[in-house]
Amino acid sequence: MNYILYLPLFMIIFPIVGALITGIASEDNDRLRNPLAVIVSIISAAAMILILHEYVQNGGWELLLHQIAPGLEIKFRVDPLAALFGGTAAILWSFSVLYSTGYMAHEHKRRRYFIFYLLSLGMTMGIALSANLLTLYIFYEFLTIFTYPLVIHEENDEAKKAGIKYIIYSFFGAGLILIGLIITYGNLGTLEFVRGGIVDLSTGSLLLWQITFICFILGFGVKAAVMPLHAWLPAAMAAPTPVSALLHAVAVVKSGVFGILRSMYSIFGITALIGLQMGYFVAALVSITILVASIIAMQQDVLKRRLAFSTISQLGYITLGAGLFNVIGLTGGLLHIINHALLKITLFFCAGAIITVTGKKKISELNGLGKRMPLTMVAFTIASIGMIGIPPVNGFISKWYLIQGSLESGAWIFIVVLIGSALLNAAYFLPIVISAFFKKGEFSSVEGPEAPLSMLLPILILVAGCLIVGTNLQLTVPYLENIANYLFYSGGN
Amino acid sequence: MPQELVSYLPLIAVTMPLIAFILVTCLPNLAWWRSAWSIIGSLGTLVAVGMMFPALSEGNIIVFQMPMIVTPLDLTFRVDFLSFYIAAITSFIWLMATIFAIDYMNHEHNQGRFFAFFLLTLSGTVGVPLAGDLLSLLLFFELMSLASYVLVIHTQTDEAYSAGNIYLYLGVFGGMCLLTGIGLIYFSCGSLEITQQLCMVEGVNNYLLAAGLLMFIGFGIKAGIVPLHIWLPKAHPVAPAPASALLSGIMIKAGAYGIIRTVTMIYTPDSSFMSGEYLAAGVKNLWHLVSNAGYAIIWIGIVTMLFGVCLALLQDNIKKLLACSSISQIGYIIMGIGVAAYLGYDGAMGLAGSTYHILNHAFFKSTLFLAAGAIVYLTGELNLSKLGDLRHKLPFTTIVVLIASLGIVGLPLFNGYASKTLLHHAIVEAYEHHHVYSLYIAEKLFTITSAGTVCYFLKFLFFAFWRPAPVEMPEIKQEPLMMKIGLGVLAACMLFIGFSPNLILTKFVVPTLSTFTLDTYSVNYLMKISFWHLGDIWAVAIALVLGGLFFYIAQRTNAYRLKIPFWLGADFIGSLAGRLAIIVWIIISFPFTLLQNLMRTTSQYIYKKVFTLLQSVDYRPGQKTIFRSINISNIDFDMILVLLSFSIILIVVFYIRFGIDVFRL
Repeated sequence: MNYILYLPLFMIIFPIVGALITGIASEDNDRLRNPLAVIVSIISAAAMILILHEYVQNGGWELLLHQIAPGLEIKFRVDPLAALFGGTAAILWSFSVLYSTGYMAHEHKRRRYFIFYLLSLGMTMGIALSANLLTLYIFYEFLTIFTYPLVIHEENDEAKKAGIKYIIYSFFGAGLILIGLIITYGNLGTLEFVRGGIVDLSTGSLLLWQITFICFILGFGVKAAVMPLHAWLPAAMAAPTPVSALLHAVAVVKSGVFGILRSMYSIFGITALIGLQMGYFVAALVSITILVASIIAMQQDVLKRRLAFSTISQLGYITLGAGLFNVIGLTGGLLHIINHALLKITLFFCAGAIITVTGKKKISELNGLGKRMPLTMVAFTIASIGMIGIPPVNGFISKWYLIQGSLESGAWIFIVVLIGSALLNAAYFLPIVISAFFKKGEFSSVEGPEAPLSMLLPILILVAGCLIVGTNLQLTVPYLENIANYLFYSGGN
Repeated sequence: MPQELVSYLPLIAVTMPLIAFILVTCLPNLAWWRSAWSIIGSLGTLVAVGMMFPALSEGNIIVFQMPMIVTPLDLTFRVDFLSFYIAAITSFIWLMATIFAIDYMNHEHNQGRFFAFFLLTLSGTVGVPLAGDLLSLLLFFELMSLASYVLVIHTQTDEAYSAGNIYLYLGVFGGMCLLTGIGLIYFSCGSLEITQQLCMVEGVNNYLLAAGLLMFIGFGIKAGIVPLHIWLPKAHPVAPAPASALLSGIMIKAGAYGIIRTVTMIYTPDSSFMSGEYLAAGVKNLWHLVSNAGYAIIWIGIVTMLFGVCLALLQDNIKKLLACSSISQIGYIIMGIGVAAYLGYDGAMGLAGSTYHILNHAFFKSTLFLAAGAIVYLTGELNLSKLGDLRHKLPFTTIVVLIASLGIVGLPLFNGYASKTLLHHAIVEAYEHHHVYSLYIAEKLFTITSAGTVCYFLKFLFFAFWRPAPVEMPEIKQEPLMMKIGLGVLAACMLFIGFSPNLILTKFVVPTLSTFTLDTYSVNYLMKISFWHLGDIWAVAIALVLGGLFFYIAQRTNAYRLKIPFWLGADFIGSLAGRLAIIVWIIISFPFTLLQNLMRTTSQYIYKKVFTLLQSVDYRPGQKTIFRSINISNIDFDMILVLLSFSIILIVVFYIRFGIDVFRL
């Protein structure tokens, strides 16, 4: 009996149990809680790596937990997309927990924070590893609930408002997903994620399927922050920075994108998608998101809000890649899941380090910070360059694939969108770097310590990761091309 | 038949400065450490580039490939003689500027940062010509753009920041243009190698046309062609002198190099297509296209030349004058490229003129900027109206400036003469090819530009060096040793180049043409060309006389007091463009702002409604409203957690015990 095959279940249960164990430590007992939390997250990441290893060696497997009714199952599966999202999230989670131990040192309610931080990990793994829409939906809802205490952590008015906004938006989206789910189940009697899709357009009217598709896109689009439904994300920046970093740049928003990918390529499948003729709808929606979010980002003075709008814009790249309906474009989108996760988490960590060390939240107050926190700002600079899409850093490569994908689909207009967005990125990231390094400010004379090691270490490792992933493409590109090819399979299962 | 040799040398040339950069950043405040590593870094590059010479002079090509690093294809180096030529000029002048900078930077702040980024910029700049495919080229190009930004804003004055902003954002814009163009070429051709692309012969579609245009814009921004030059007169003067020397002498050549590669190499048919009796239709169409593009580029070059001269005549600041002169001189180079494209298969003369002028301009312009640096270092003054009589006070600098100036005006036996003569031949050849009358005018404009060049250099020499000083100057020190070495070596090189134009032409300039698709007859003609015809010297004499006349008239009428009319100045046009951009911005963003506000208002309204509704629900009898907001901190979550976790564990244990179906796919 191969126990590795039970690991997907372990990936979900263990963080929950771990959260419970972490909860043993009383509020003030950081010396017990911090190591526990870090260990739990590292064990989860290690388990995820084992799953990845097993997957690469012997292929995927399924795990049927419970059958509610025929076609309605609680079921997990390791397949390429699950491996991609789960692997990215689990590994970044461990860095993020380590970072949290440093960041949260001076915050209140640390016990609650860490419990829910780890609970969210379990739910994210559930989303990643689910084998059908029902399982995904359940964990998706739980993720909203478990991240709510993190969003309102500050417990001031701003945070509570943000929390309400977050809950309402998320449940609205989940409601749309539920509608889509019911229509799908009603027509097909199954919700399974199947390579090549389960939807047969001949089983219902085209209009019905188009509505279902829109339900899925907009429903998952809430978490993916597609433009009219994005407002919760900037508001949720009231949360502590590690939460913003992980949940709102990696896990929560990427679970939305993951849902879009799943519904597009595992529920509908490429044949049905082309039959639906909704590709340009998605791409147009997302193009608007990319440009408008970048434009709004330029007007923000609070660093985290600027990063939030940048996230909205960059998530659009992923969805755009999915909406181009060709392998190269999809590869670009999938690449951007990894690349954006690495870059944005680095940027958020830097922002958090700045807040911890100097207490400054606004960009206009950062003049001369380069002398005060050189390592952090160098990391910030590198990640910014990656965001713009300038070669040595990893953001470039996804942009390159997206450009090729746009050309492949014959729509050169998306190149204009991508390049325009890159220029806007330059226009809102470079001034931060310039003012930090070259402007004279109140920091310039003050020498002081950098951020604590528990915060600096994740920043440096991640920025090194950005450079390594950016310069060693054989680490990512072949696998992601395989995943894209896997998703594009149209021959039925 | 040329061989492809695999060698680490290009990689070493690029990484030497990178290593030195890292070492200098480690200990930026240690003077001997950073000086030593700066020199070692640039010397290492020079040696690595120089060691490629034997293999390349035999007509071989050096290649090196690092699989799947950085670019979706490979990081490749491909060094033909043109690459070597540009890289050699770059690294040699860089070394001289570094030597100069060691003394010069004494009076500046933050020297560690300067030297570190000086090295980083070298890595990018030398990588541009050595790169073997367009994406690798882009990588180095961006490195050069971003790293040199730090040099531009080194003084950290407001002027430097505004210049730096234009420099940076135009640079990023150019980089994105290049990226798009490269993406289009890759999509259409499936290859990015910097060589004659086979797919061009199969027909240039709209994508490829757009790609060519975008690449021309991207490289043109760096080269400073009009109207993309607006950053140049701002950015070059504000940098410290060694950096200005390299910005003006070397880095704009990276743009010119890119244009050469794009227009006269990538968009031309391979020479194997030219062997038959009749040309295939695709080949003919391609030549036709290139020829049309060439005609446009000739005029862009002419306009750039004239515009630069006009700007330079009106400058009062030495470094600004030199920067505007750079625009004008890059116009010569662009015009030469245009002629080469216009004449297509017979375009050897234009191409040789351009490459030769790249060499000459690199030498004299960087020397002049360094000399300007020496002047500001010793006198603290750059304004022509306040300087004077430097020939007695700084005899060494005077001699160097004189050599460089005589070179730039194209006096025989000085180094600009040969290349300008070649370029003049080229434009005449272009006219005689089809007898297009407009090119006849172009040739006349060429002469006028040369006269203008003479005029503003007479102005420069007269005001700064010859006339009696208008104000009493304080006692002036002599040039420090390192400055003298840097300037002296450059001046000696220029004298050598000026005295032996044929040697340079046959040994260095003509071999650069070997990888281009050119008629062997016209290349051989270049090998035997003589520079000492009366006609050529006569052309220079006309320019000199005209220029002297201009100068005399201007001097008599006090025309130099004239300022640029404000509505022609770059600042005014820039601010106009800026205001226009803001207006456009407001118009574009207005609907979005409106939409945003609308959404915010409606959502707030909906929240209010929903929560009034929720609050009106009486949850507990006997109390009015309890639902103020969701507040989890009041709930004992630990309890819930314990229950939840245990129930989940129980379920899991139950299922593991009694059966979870696990099956492999």
